Formats: sequence, C-alpha cells, structure tokens
Amino acid sequence: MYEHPASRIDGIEFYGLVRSFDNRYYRKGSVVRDIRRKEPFHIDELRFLLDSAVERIKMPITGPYTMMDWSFNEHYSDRHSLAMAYAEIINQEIKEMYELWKRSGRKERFEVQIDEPATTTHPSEMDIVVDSINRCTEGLSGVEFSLHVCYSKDYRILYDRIPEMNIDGYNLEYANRDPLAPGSERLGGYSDLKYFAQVNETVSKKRFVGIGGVTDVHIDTVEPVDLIRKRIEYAISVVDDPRLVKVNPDCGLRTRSREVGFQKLKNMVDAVRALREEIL
Amino acid sequence: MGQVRSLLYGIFPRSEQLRLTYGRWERGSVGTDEVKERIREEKEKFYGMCRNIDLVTDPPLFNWHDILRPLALATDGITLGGPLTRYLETNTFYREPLVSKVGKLRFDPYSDAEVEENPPMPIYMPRDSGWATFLPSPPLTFVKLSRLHGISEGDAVKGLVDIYRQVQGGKSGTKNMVLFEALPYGKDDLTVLDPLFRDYKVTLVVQGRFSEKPFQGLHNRPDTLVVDLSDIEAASRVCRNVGVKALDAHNTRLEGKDAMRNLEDTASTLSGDLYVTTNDYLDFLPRGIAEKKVAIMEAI
Repeated sequence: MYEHPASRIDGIEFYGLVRSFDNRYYRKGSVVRDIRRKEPFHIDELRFLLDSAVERIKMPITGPYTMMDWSFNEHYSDRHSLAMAYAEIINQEIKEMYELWKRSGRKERFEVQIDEPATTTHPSEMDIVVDSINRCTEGLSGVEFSLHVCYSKDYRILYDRIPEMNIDGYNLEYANRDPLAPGSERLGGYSDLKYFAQVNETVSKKRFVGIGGVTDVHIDTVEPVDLIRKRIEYAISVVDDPRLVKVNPDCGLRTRSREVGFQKLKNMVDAVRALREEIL
Repeated sequence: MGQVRSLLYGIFPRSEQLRLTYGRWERGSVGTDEVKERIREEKEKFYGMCRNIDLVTDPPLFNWHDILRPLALATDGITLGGPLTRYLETNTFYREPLVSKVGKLRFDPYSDAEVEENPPMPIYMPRDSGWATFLPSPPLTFVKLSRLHGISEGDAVKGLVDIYRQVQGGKSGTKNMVLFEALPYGKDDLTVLDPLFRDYKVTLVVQGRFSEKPFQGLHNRPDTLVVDLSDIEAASRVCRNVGVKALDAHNTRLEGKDAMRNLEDTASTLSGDLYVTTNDYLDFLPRGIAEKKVAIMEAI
C-alpha cells in the first residue's frame, strides 16, 4: 500500500527494507527532492474493475499523512509541507479515477477509501492530518470518501476532528483490541465507539463507522460467526442507527494465508447476512 | 579531559538473507539449525563491521522481534497475550506483554531455547570483552509499554530489576549493561534502579528533555548517561561520562564528518568520556544505511 504509489512518484529513492513488525518488512522510501507523480497508481485497476462484472466498487488509496509518515524526509522543510505535496498528487489521482468512473456510466456514487493507518501516530500532528485529507478531497463533491485508520493508540483524537474532515465515514480496527477468550464477551475493545457516537451527535451530516474490526488480521484464529455478530450488535446498540454501521476486517489480510483470510471473510459475511435478515 | 568513544546499542537491522531465512523458518521450510547457523554467520560479519566501536550491546540482537519480547518470553508470569500495538510514534508494532506477576526466568537467556512461535533464542550471545547486555529499562519502557493485570506498577518494576540481575549475573561475564528508556522521565522514581547502578556499569539511554531531578537522592549513578546534544552539560553534572545522540536512527540522511569533528571540541569540556551514539537503535533504518551510520561512528 506504500510502495505501490511511492514507486510511481518521482523524488523518492529506495535504500532498502525496514521492519514493520516481527519478520514483516516494507520498502520505505526517502524523499530526496520535490515529489511529482510519474504515472497513475490505480487507473488500470479501476479500468479492469469497470470492465468486469463487479457490481459495487470501492477504490482504496493510501492517504497523504501515511505516505509522509512512512517516508524518510530528506528534502521538505517540515512534515506538513511533505504531507501537502502528497495530498496534491493523491487529489490528482482521485480526480482522474472519478473522470473514468463518470465516463463508465455507472449510476451509483463513486466510493474511495483513503487508507491512513498512520493517522493518530503522532497526536500533536492532527492538524496535518486534517489539512492533507481535506486537500485530497478538494473538488470531488460527488465522491463518497471513507477513511481507514488502524492500530491507533487512541481513536478519540481522530473522532474529535470528525467535524472538520470532508469524510463520509470511517473504517476502523477494533477486533485486535478485543479479547477472544471465553468469558470476555463484554466487548471492551469496542468501548470507545461510544465517543464516536457522541461526536457524531454533534454534526448535522452523520458519518458512518465501519467497525472494523470484526476480524483480527494479525492472528490465525478465525473468529466464530457468533462472536462477530455480537460485536456488530454491540456497535449498532452504541451508534443507535444500523444504517451508520458498516462491517470490515481490521485491516488488509495480506499477513495471513489465503485459506485463513478467506475463512475470516466468510465468517464476517455470514454474521452480517444473519443479522441483516433479522433487522430488515 | 575525556576521550571521544563510540557506542552501538539495540537491535540492528537484519540482512536480506537473514530476513528470508526467518521467513522460511516461519513457514517450516528450514529448520532451527539453519537459522542458528545463519545468525552465527551474520554475527561474524557484524563484529567485523563494528570492530572499531568501543562498546556494542550484545550484537546484534538479530533474533529479537522487538525490544520487549525476548524478556517477556523468558519471564514467568509474563505472556504475549496483549494486542498488536504501535510502538511509540513509529510505524513498527509489538505484541503487548501481559504482566500478571514477575516470577523467575523460565529459561537461561544464554541458551538455545525455543519458545512459542518466536525464532530460536538465545537472547544474548556474549563475547569475551567489549560488549554489554541491552535491556529495556523497567520503570518506563517495559512496564508502561505492557499491560498489567493484578500486579502494581511498583511490584512489576521491582520484579523486573530482579530479573535483570539474574540476566546480568548469569553467563554474561560482563558488568556492562545498556538500559534503554523509550519514554521520557517525568516525575518517575528512579530509586528502584539504584542497585543496578551500584552493581553494574550501566549506560542509561534517556529520552526527551533531560532533567536532573529523577537522579537526585540516588545513592549510585549510572556510568554513562546518553542524552541529546543540548543536554550534555546538565547530564555531566549527574554522571561522569556522557553519551550524545549524534546520529539519527530515523532518517536516511547521512551525518556530515564536520558535525562529528565538532564533538571533539565538546568532549574537551568534559571531565569524563563522551560517547557518540544514535538517537535510537538502528532497526528503523534499511540495513545499508545503518551500516553507513556505523562507518561514520567508526571514523570518529
């Protein structure tokens, strides 16, 4: 999610891999001069999807703050300037995707998920997050934007900024912080959804929340359908409007085997279907 | 007037070959013996690379996934049952230790133990001389980055200090200990570290703006305090030897030789030695850049 766009941007040099966790590594680039897009990141992918039979499409794109935070900055005067330079490039990319979308004749709203796992890494930099995210979404009022954040130490600092961000909803990681052990059904890992609901009460345009988090992407244990269902029910009870609750895994399932990833997704879908039948 | 010396501490980035070997080990396509052999080769290379560094922590901790895990796995009453957690303000993650008690060492940290899904130990691989153990400092780094369950912070810290004494008193054969603090001291009480300062030659790496306060009232002092450049004078009032974080472990930009030369002038103002080191362990950098930073330190 980082290297794919970074390798298509001029101004970034790669010196090797750095650790993310355990024995997992990623190629972290160094920004050594002004950055500019050399070639599109996702246009081919979107074109392929539009030509296929896929009915609903949401395009993920790595966000400007994460691109900045995951790069070594050897050139820009400060982190805000680098994040805004990335935001400029990402805005250009989304605009081109949106043009392609419109030309395809699709009737539904174009959905873009801005992936920002780094969002709350530096609590003092939330202004940079807000500025750069809003720059990404400029001139794109017809697009539905969601923001994916994961492994945050404290989502409340993100929720506090909801009113300022041009984002329609949030896809978050929660399962990782919720115990799986029998007898731990209090769903403590999801408790700060209450704060999301409080902040959402204060805005006229309600945001949705993807409770992320119905499957932990860093363990092979496949969460049972019943547990996932309980987590969704809890989120609905807190947010108090099922239309504002979406369901997604904590993060990408790349770190799991295909078999484990498939089973996690299957259980998630089974839990959603069962609940939907009950609610609707 | 002291001398300028060099210190290399903490986890050093794995080579591409070692990373791939670990990946194969995780998938079960190579055995533990092959991993050990690869580590032995890597260690030889590493010693060759840093032969002119004055003090090196048990190099190179290639088998440490993060700075807490080996000791968490080795200690009775601590498990890795917590969530995957972001390590401070970085893009690296660790599995949060759950501390219900701090018992005894479950295995010899110098032996070839295999525990859980972790790559084969030993935790430390001693040399004859010129090396130090590397330990995440108990009060902040270990305890505050863990989740406590049914044990007070004070008891957890005391227990860890005992564990550290067992580690140091085992087959290490060295009095040198580098205690790494990942978080800044506030009003934290450091008296619990007093016995470690008394019995061992402790290099304490601290974070944030340095304050003399936590050291007031201690009967013993660390041998060396590693601080930011701006805090050298204050640190030298607490400790005879001072370390300065002259190299950036979070940026690929290479430090100029001039900046290193200026440190000689700084050293001339101190009564003790000046250790030149990094502002964090080098695992946050690509291996090639980390090697270049070591070469800069060596050239001092």
